Amino acid sequence: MKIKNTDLVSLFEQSLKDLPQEKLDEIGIVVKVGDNICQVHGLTNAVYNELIDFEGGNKGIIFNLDEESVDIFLLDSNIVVAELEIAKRTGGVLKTPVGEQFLGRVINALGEPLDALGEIKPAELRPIEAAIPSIIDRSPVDEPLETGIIAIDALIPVGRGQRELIIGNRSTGKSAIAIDAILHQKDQDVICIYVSIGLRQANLARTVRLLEENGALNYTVVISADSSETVLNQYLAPYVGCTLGEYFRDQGKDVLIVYDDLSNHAIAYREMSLLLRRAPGREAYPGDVFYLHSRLLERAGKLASGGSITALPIIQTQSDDISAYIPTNLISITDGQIILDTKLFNQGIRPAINIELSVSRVGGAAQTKAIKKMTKALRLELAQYHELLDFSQFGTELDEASQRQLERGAIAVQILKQPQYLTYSFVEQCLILFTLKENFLNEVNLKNVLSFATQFANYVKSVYPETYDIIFDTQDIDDKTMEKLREIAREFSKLFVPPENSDKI
Amino acid sequence: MNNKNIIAQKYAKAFLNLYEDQVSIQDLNGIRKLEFFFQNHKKVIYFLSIPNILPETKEKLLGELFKEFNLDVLLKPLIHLLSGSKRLFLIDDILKHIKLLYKEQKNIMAFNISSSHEISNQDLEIIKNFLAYKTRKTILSRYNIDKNLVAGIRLQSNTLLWEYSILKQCETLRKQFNIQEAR
Repeated sequence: MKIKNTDLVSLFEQSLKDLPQEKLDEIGIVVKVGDNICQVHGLTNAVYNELIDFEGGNKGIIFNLDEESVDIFLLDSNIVVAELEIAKRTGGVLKTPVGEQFLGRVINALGEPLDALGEIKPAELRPIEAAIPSIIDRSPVDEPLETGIIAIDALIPVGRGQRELIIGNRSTGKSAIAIDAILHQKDQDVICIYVSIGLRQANLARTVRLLEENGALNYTVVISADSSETVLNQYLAPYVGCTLGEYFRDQGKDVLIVYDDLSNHAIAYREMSLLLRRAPGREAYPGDVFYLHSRLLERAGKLASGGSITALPIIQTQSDDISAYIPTNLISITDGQIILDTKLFNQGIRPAINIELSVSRVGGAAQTKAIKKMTKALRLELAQYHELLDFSQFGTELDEASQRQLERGAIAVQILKQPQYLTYSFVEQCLILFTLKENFLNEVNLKNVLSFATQFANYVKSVYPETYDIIFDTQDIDDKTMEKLREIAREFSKLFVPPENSDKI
Repeated sequence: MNNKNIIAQKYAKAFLNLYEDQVSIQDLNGIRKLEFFFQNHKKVIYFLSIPNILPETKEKLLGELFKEFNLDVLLKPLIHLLSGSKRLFLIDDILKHIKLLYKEQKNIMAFNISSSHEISNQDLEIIKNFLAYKTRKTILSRYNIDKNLVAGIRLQSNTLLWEYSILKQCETLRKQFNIQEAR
């Protein structure tokens, strides 16, 4: 960028106007530099996590305090730090800019824009490590956060202020679930923050394009610390995202924050700790890797004064092993997990959610009455179905009741399938599940059940909007509405044309 | 801190426990110069660590060396002690710790005063008083002229810095240009 002459003059004037400083700066001398960390001799009164200014223009954060020296991680890998350079205390911790202007923008872990849409003027600067709301300040999670995915909203409901872990092998649809949840927040008055840690730039570019095309970028902030960034930036990114979320939460807004993914975050922290020569523990992770994530996720929650942060951390497993170190840490921290199974994914069941192993500890408290009524016993039916399925593979003849159960379970599995980028409102989900609950799908060919159910939902929305609105406004389905829906369903059953026959008409 | 450093620190503490009152500011300057000598002549330390060379030879060498810096009388007991315990190779670390501990105990801070142009003794005294007021310590200063400052002064110790110069302001400008260019 060319600097204008007027800018030059004003910069000169401004700097020469500076009065001599009153205090002496506390300094240290760089004695060792390498791997993006440097050892500085001196800085005797510096504190842990303090921000340090280098003479050459770089900045860093203190991560180790020794008797005579401190170890500092550098924030900018492009600015050279030389031996014997002077490092000055700033007296404060790293602060990140926050504000409404960040909505719709893509930024890095230092709050700098990456989308070439100009500078962002922050409303304020906040430290990235913040105090966690106390028990008194919190309120129970009782409001649903719709993800738009039937399998989740029906069986593993997420509430506003909950932490729900998304866990699975690579390429099982973890990010897809998170992105769909973000896309569904349009007109839901929820601000979304997507933190990308250690992922490929190409993937992030695709995600940003998708959010933009679907109008989701307007209420989303994307924070990028891709795999080419320094480990410090990858370490900082989730905390920056959380700080931004807290800014909106403190204004009484609901925030959804996705950490994609915390395995890379743990790996970055491990690399930092090993470079600092801290003693490695299990799987070479440092001893405080639990605290790394617990202090991040404890900042999510619902406040009594209004506002909430719902966290969807993502963790990648190796060979479906959910008993590994980092996954078990996160399972114990979060309020439930959505487990994605590679086998189910390969069988074409997408989202590949393992309903039996997935859980939401908030449960029905985060569901509308309408959904609760429609999903009564569904989880049990699915569990019984899977058990019978294993049994039926032995080739034994099953009694009529078991066969009916198998058929019903198969229909339920089909109903819970959902294409990517297609989300349903809770009313649509109720209507889809209604067809299952009231056995309207029993006479439909298995491959057409999803089509039937979704078309029924559209049918009610377009032909009987008053019924649709009743469910939407009351968030419940009373007996009268139930009866009306049965009538509509009987009517629709006569009109339904399965997709393979539609060309013949 | 490694073992060598810990042992050297203990020797330094022990020396000061006994001889602190005999150490003067001039001796401290001598110790600083000696430390600088050892930094630039590491072969001397290597020589002192060779076990084949007789301790008496090593003692004699150090005695002659310390005489050049007027420290032979003060440090003779130390050399003798180290010779007896075959630890003469620790002498440079011990001197470093003697200097640091002495300054700590006597509340002394050393400052490097640099100015772009020559300043009077009176002005130097004002600067030293200013530093003494700010640090609440006795100030030991070394003065030099640094043309790079263009105009102004720079006061620097190991842990503190005060600067008011054109050079500093140019650096601040350069950082601001870099920030603007990056945007």
